[in-house]
Amino acid sequence: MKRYLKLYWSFFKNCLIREMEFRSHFFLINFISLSWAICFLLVYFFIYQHVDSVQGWTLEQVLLLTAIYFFIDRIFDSFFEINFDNFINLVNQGDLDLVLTKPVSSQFIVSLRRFSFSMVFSNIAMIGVIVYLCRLYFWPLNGWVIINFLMLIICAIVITYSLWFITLLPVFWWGRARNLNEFFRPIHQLGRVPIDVTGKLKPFLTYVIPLAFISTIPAQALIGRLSIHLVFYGVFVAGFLLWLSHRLWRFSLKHYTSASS
Amino acid sequence: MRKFWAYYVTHLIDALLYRAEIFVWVLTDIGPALVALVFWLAAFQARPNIAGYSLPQMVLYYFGVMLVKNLIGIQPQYHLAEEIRDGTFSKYLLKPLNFLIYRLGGIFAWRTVRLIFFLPFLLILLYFFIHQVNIFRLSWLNFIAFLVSLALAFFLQFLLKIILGLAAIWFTEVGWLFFGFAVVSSFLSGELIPLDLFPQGLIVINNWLPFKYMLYSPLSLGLNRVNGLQAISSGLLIQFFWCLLVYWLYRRVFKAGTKTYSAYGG
Repeated sequence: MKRYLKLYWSFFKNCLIREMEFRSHFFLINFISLSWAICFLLVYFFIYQHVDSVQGWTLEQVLLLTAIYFFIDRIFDSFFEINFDNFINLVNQGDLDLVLTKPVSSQFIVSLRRFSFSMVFSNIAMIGVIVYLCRLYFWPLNGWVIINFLMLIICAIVITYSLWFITLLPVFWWGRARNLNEFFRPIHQLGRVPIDVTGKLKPFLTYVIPLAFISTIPAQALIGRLSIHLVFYGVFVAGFLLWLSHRLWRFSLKHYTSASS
Repeated sequence: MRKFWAYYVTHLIDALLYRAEIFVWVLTDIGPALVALVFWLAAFQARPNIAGYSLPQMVLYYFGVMLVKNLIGIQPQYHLAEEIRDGTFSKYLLKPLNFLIYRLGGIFAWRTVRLIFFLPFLLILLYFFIHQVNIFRLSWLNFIAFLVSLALAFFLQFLLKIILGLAAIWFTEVGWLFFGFAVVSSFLSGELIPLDLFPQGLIVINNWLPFKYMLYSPLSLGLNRVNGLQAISSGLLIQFFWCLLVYWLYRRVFKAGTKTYSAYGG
């Protein structure tokens, strides 16, 4: 474990040095990705000029949900997504060989080699929005609620990672799908709306493909509408999916042909 | 024209190889609109009318977004920037091919395959939303205006994005430019929500920008939200004017770019 932390720290430093070579790019991309999140907050703001509540979700609750969605999404992007962009090339060009011969877990390197600093502004801004909305509408929050919330955030990141990672694995069979890293994105976008609006699909999206955990359930924790069993289920399902992603990775690796074009 | 067909056919063969890739792109076209649609279904439970839209109109709006995005939501800038970076861009300058016609052949070929993949999804979604969709009568005038507007929207988008791609001649890193354009245009073109929901001030500003003419304009004609010869023709005229302006800009950028371009690599 200590070895991995040390390794990750050097990856992190390496990426930071690279990032600082292009400082204006760093500011621009951070600013744009923050604007994208602000667009969505504005969209809800405009919609709620015409409606009062949607399936029991009021404006401040939906804004909280959106801020949480972007916060989790940005953390996921910084740690993992930037690596997923590269993953398809790694397999298709046979460069995965270099990863497999290293004396550490290959899934670790494939998923965490690079760290993106493009989301720093968004993350700070989204934390600001979350704290602001909580102070204004959902105060007081006791320590227990905050612990639940933080735990659910970690679960959300692990769930997003595991599901997204699993959808990348068909690349070992279908080399021609160069955009497989985009496959999960439209599914993941369901997190932008409260899961309650999906009606009959809600149990499915809570328990089977747990997309409810990537925004709705953490938001409910702060709003104070959370049944406690979901926290336990969240931890369980995050652990299970992580394990599953690892098993499927091992399985898929057997089909790696190391062919390059 | 014969050249165009030759480009079209070669790219068509190429596109047919990448079926799984096209399948994923079709999903990314559908995803955001479908998520918004699900949200609106719930929002309309409390009231029959939101900002002048009834539920069937809102459902058709997002079906329209999916369709228009699928038909004309092109992204030629990424490939172009890559060609400039690795030097393959030189082929447009050396060989006797027209840059724009060559690009169009490729785009039309990929769009053809993409449309074939999109239609089954559209039919399945229509089946699920059959009770929320109503059939309305579209006048011939509106239908023809819709097609013209769609073609103009296509050219506007095409030229703007080619200009963005050409920016790679001057900047080493253009990802931020593409990302920034995508953010602004999806917000202001009406892709996320119908522009009628925007506050009045923003609507007025937006009328002076090109973004709504890339999606919202054809859509409002096709959904019968703009009527009457005068309103239709003035809308099309503005769109046409934007196309001319952007074409003029493209010519200038291309000319300046080919002087600066230094063909590394290739």
